[in-house]
Amino acid sequence: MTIAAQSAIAKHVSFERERGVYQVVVTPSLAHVHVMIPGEANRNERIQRIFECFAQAGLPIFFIKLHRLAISFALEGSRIDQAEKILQQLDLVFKLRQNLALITIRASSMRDLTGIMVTIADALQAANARLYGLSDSHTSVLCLIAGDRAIAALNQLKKTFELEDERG
Amino acid sequence: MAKVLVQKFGGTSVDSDAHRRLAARKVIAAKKAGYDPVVVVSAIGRKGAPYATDTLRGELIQIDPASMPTEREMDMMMACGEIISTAVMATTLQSMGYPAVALSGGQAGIITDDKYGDARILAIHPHTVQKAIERGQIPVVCGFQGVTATSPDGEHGGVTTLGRGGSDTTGSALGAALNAVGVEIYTDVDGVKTADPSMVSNTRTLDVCSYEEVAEMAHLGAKIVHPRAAEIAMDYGIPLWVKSTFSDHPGTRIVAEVDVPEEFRQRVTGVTHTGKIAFIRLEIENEQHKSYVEQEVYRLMARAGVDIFLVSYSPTALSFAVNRTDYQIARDILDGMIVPVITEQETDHTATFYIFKFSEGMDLAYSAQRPLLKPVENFIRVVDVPGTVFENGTMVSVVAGRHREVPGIMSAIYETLNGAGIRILQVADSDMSISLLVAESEAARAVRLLHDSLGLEE
Repeated sequence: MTIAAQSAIAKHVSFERERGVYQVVVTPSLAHVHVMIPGEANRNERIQRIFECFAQAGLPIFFIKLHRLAISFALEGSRIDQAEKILQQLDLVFKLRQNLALITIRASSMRDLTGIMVTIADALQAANARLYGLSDSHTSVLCLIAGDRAIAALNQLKKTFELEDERG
Repeated sequence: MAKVLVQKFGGTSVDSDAHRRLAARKVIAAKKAGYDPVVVVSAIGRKGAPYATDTLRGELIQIDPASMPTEREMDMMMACGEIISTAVMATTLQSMGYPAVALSGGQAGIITDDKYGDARILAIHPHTVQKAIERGQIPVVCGFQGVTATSPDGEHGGVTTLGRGGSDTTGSALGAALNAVGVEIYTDVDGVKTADPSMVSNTRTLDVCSYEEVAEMAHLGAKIVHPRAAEIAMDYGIPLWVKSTFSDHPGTRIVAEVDVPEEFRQRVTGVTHTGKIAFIRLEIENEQHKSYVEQEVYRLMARAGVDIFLVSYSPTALSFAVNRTDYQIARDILDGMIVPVITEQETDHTATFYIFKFSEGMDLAYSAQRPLLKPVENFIRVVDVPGTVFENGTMVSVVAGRHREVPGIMSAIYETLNGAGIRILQVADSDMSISLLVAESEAARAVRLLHDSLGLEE
């Protein structure tokens, strides 16, 4: 199922932004790639080569994570064929996940909100939305989930953080 | 009223008579240019100065070091710094021939919630400020403070302070309430820099950047405009300027992204660094049980008041960062922690117990707990969760709006740092930035290398 980008926003916005979470945004139609980089030998050079090839192909990647024996990243779902081709040419073992949605949860100062991760994890679990990736910054937590759970996740997060649908 | 221009001066701009006169000249210049300036000031000087916020806090704490003063009284004390500064600045302007009136946050109509020490502005009723302008006076308003609303039974509100970045926030909020043509934040640098000038010698001052860029840079360690101030300006569409009290440099204009010239929208804005971080990695081999175990880790960290960030998922591992000040607490919680998992799919055992184990010397609780589980191993599967820690990390961040639309940024970052032998331990990206966890000892070199390789040098 493909869903359009959706978002929800805080109900009671005062002169300043809310202290807690004030917005949740869903970005649909993403893909996630997990590329195995076994062994320590030339690990950095092999990772560098992957980044280079995607850059040369004009393919933006984000949500990059370094794992002990792998790297993972996300990209636009419409460009998955291109990504697959690059990784095959590099002769790499990889796993692709398609039809994912990125849930962006925004707060003015995310890192002052102790327990925010468990609150989000609980909400996603209640929506039966399994996490495939997680990233965070001072102002946001980003969760990569299955696209067909995005609406349920958005609704659950709206309930958890007392948000309402964003107009416009 | 003519066009209102809010001018906010930080502590170093008002810490001596000479500096205050320089600041006053900026105000007079605005007046002469046809604006109605509204001045916002911070407390005089920084840490150690007699009227600086930290000094005033210390005065109250020393009365009885065994017990902290109440937050209400602490706010009343801290607010004195700005009150002194306001009176001094107003008098300075008067001495230069310009009528000025000093106003506390409450007198300026700044109403906040009642979270003392970290209050949020709920409303501004700027009648007194407007009246002063109408009388031809220059209002000089205390930054960093407000008052709670008068109660329904007429009890007057308490003095509150706005927490970190409070004076910038006052400046932006007053700008929004007065429908100002702009808010100028005066400091001791020429504007928003591409990196910390104390770390990188060839930084550039940006001519223009978006609210989002400046808020991101501030969140990620750049000491410019506080993100709260940028957010208010963004929400109310008030242009911000960052300028120097001590030079005539035009400064940096901060506007909505749509008003940033097209050629600057897909760019790297700056390189910052922040934080003393410990990075913890836990190997959880069972992919099915992993999410449950992770959730328990989050829950326990939350209960202990430990913030976790830079969270990374892989099929068999969970890694995250904690502030180094919280690291000991985090490790104490995790060492020897047991997470029991019971699922319907279990066949040969009724349950699995996951027990967290750090490397030798850091596994005191594990060493005590693990033998106690031996007798139950016939019925319950016991699985070690090995944990490793990197204690001396910091975060270097590249601020780049739209980086998700631009191929090659990560490639350039990785090539630069890898080529210089700087190991990237983890990556985290947001809408506006890519942050890299590196060894603290490499932070300055990483910032310098990235600043130059990403084309930010002057």
